Parts: sequence; structure tokens; C-alpha cells
Amino acid sequence: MLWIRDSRGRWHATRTHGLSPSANGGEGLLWLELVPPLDRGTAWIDVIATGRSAQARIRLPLSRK
Amino acid sequence: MNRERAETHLRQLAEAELRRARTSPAPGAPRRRADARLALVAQALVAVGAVDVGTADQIRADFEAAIAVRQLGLLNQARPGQRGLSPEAQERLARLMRRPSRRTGAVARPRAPWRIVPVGQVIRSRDDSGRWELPLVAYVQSAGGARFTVAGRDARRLTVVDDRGASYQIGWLGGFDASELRLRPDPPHQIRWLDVARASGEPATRIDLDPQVPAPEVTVTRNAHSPGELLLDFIAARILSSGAVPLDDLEHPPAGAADLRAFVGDGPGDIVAALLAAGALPPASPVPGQLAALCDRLGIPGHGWPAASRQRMTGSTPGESGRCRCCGSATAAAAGTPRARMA
Repeated sequence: MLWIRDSRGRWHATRTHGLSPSANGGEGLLWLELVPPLDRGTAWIDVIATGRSAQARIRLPLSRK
Repeated sequence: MNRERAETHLRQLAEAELRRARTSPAPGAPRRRADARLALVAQALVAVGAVDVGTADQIRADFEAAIAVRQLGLLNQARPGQRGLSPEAQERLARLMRRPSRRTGAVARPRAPWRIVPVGQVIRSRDDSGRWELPLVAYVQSAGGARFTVAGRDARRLTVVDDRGASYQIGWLGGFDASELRLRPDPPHQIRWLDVARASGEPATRIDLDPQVPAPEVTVTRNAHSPGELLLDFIAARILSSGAVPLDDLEHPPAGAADLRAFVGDGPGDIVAALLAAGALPPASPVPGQLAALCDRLGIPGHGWPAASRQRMTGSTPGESGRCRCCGSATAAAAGTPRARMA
């Protein structure tokens, strides 16, 4: 289960739109829709995955071009 | 977790649904509902590891066999001498004959170094059908190969050439909103840029691969969550992301959008009862109550949550991070202060 917390402290649920597993099975690309969507000024997001014995969190900086 | 009690709960549910089907005057919707209810609870118990897939399939198969036999009896009563099964009964029996395919687990290989480059460039072109744009989001290279992540999909031919003059074939993977553009063969990690162009010979767009992003550190916190709470957290996310919830105005939702009600139904209450019976959810867990509060707040009545579960939610307190202090659940934050946490 993946939840997103943005740089303004707001939570977002995720809806999975697809998973592209790689040929070697050790990784994959996950297409997620964030609900509600992020604001344009969001500086970073924390992606939080929770399992039975641990919680993994990764901070991703966002940039716009 | 008590696997024996979980299996007993599932068998008792199947027996109860079978008794209900026996008293039902006609086949059809009540039977399909019973099948769906059993499938939902079985899926929940399998998801938390309380019942293995084979046992759940066997219980459902027994249930379907009993239903099919009863249907055959009704058929023979109505049409003496005709021994055939109805299409529905035939389908049920055919499902019994199917054996679940064995899945082969993928073997993870040692992780190769990643190369991640934010691109943020648009390949533009114009042809007889009008203006054409393909936004390239990022370039990713790993053990799985090299690819661009793309917002959208367009099957028009592209050419890709690196700074050394080597060209690559393109393969598309994904849907219409987002897809991957895979490069074959795998480019060397040392290349500095890629030129991407339409095959029609238009000017190429140069993608600079130098501004690489170091892979962010992953922080892992050891803490225990019951499998039942994780499953309910997942259900909360499904509810919130179902598309039927007006997330810009959670305080004034419509009285339960039809598709959201259909997703929720009585299912959550059945799932909680099964998780409690299996010992996969602590009796004092506040998460069922938080989900009940979320459903109530979203205007979804009839979700089947036990009233006692609702009362337990009063003990939950959103922490500074927005997750509940007592259980770490984002559901608590969403249920407690939806405007502040989710909007």
C-alpha cells in the first residue's frame, strides 16, 4: 500500500494504473495517480510503503520545466 | 494469527450462505450475492495470510458444488426426465474441474546501477493529421534496460541515436495516459545524450543525459502492523481514490455516490468479522472504527461496520506527521480531519 505525503503535509491516496515489470523481475515501473492531485508548488513528496514489520519512506524532489 | 479459526470462519460463512440459498425461492441475484460475499471474505483472509489460496479455493469449490447440485435438483423437479444442467450450473461445475495454475516465482538478480535523468522535454512535429506532441518525462536505465517514461502514447515511428552514432529500436509498453519507450539494444551507461526524432526526417530533439539524479535514500522504520490493519488501510485508499469522492469538499459529499456504495456494500463489515475471527486484526484496533468514520463522513451508509468498532475510533489521534499515533494509519488522519489532511 502506497500513500503520499507532500511538502505541505497533505496526504494523498494512490490509484494504480499499471505496473511494468522488467525482464529480470527485480524491479518495475509503477504508474500511480495521486488523489487528490498535487499542487503545482509542491517541492517534494514522501512515498510511504507500509508492510507488516516495517515502513519504507523515500523523499522525491519535484521539479517543473 | 489463528489459521484454524480463519478456515473455520470461512467454512461457517459458506454454510450460512448455503442455508440461505436453500431457503431462497429462486436462483439468481441472492445466489450471486452469496458467492460474491464468500469470494470477498476469502480474498481478504488470503491477503492477510490467514488462509492459503488452495484452502480458500477448496471451500469455494465445495460451496459452488453444493449450489450446483441443488440447482440440478430443482431442475429435475421442474422438468422430470431431463438430466441436463443449466448453463450456470455447467459453468460452476466446469470451474470445479479447473485447477489453479501454479505460479512460478520470479528470481531477483543482483541490482545493477541506476541512471535516472529527469527530461521534461516535448517532441513536437506537424503532419497531415495536425500537430503532434510527445512529452518525455524521464530517462531510466537499470538492469531492466533503458527507457523513457512518456506521458501519453503514440505509435508513430521514432528514431533514437546516441552521441556515438549508434541507433536504437523503439518498443512501446503501457497504456494511453502513460507508457514506456524502451530502447533496444541497451545503450552504454557512458553516453551523454540521445537525439530523438520522427522517422520522417524532421529535426531531432536532443535529450541531455548529464544531469543525473542520485537515487534517493530509502528510510526503513521497523514497526509492527497487523495484516488486518494493512488490508483495511488498503481498502481506505481504494475508497478515497475510487473517483466518486469529491475530494475538494469532503465535508459536504453527496449522499454516497452509486459506484462507491457498490464497492463498499456490506463487504467491509464481513471482512472485519473474518479478520477478527482469524486473529489477523487486534480486537482493540481503532482502524475499523476509523474506516467506519470515513464511510460515514463520505455519506456511505450501510457499509456493515460493527457499531462497537465505531466507538473505538475515539481513541485515535492524528500525530504531527498526519498518521495516527497509535497505529500509524493514514486512514485515521483521513477519517478524523479530511479537509485538513486530504484536501
